[in-house]
Amino acid sequence: MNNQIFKRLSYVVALMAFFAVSTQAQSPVDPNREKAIDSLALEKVKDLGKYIAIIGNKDTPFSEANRVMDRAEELFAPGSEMGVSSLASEEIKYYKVREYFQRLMALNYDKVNIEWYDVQYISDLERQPDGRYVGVVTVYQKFEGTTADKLNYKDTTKKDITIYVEKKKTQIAGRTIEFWDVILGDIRVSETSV
Amino acid sequence: MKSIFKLVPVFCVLLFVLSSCKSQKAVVDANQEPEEVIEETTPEPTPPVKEEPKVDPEAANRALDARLSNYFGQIANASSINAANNNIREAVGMFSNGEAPVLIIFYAANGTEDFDEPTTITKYLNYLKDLKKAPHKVKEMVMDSQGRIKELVLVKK
Repeated sequence: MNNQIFKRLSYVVALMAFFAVSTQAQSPVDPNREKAIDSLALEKVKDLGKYIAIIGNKDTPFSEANRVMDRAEELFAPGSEMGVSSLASEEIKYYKVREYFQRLMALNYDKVNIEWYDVQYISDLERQPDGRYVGVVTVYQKFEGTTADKLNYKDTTKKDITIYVEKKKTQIAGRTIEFWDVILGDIRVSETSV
Repeated sequence: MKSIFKLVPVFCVLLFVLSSCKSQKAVVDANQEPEEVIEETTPEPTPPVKEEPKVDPEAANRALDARLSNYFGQIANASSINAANNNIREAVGMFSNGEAPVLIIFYAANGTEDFDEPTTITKYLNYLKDLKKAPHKVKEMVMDSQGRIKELVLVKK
């Protein structure tokens, strides 16, 4: 009889411990901190928009464009792809980000102007069971290319960017520093218009 | 003979004075660290002692902070890539080297600080140039033995 009660009690205690641990693992962090993480990730996307504008700009010296490509590439998870669309075709082509940057730099225009605007979350950063945050940000990209004989190509593309945020550790001068790493995933084209 | 007896007290006094001098020297020597034997040379005339201006470390830090913040602004608002690069070169000179780590705090509460991905001073200054903005201020500078910054901690303005 005593043995049975003890067994049942052990189950209850084990169950309670399991719930306690799983609640702890998924407990939301300080809301202000989450807001700060949201802003940090959004800033990285805005930074990418600036980098793309620099790479595309025909006035940017080659060495500067290459340096900026390196910085921009560092924002992405390895193997990430960028969608490219055109008003002339229904097809959306996907390139690895480095290849996309190189093609962008080599575009056959004399002047290229790229601007990102309305950068916002369409799917908030959600904490995953593994502690990583995943969200989706949407941006509008206005592209304008002009040739010497004043031929113009203009379009506006809506792009969706998957964002991953995770806590990592690194060693700085012998100390372990914990930091939030924002990593961009694939960039998909969802709309193209004039 | 009588004159010899007259000299005895004088001799005694002389002996006493000499011995007291020697014992005093012995006391002094005992208190001193044993010194290495140094060849005697003609002492060079000592230059007049200049009183070094007292450096207030806090004031020096503030001056360094102001100088660095000024560079941040100049790089972000540079009129050309060349102007920005010149400022970057000068600013990097304030650091142990171009790879000096830069930590950026983007959130702090309840005694904990959240950091962005650490970067280096060269990358950070180029970031200011590319983004044309200076969104951070200096929170802490760790100096090396040469008085250069070997680690920088920034925080959002």
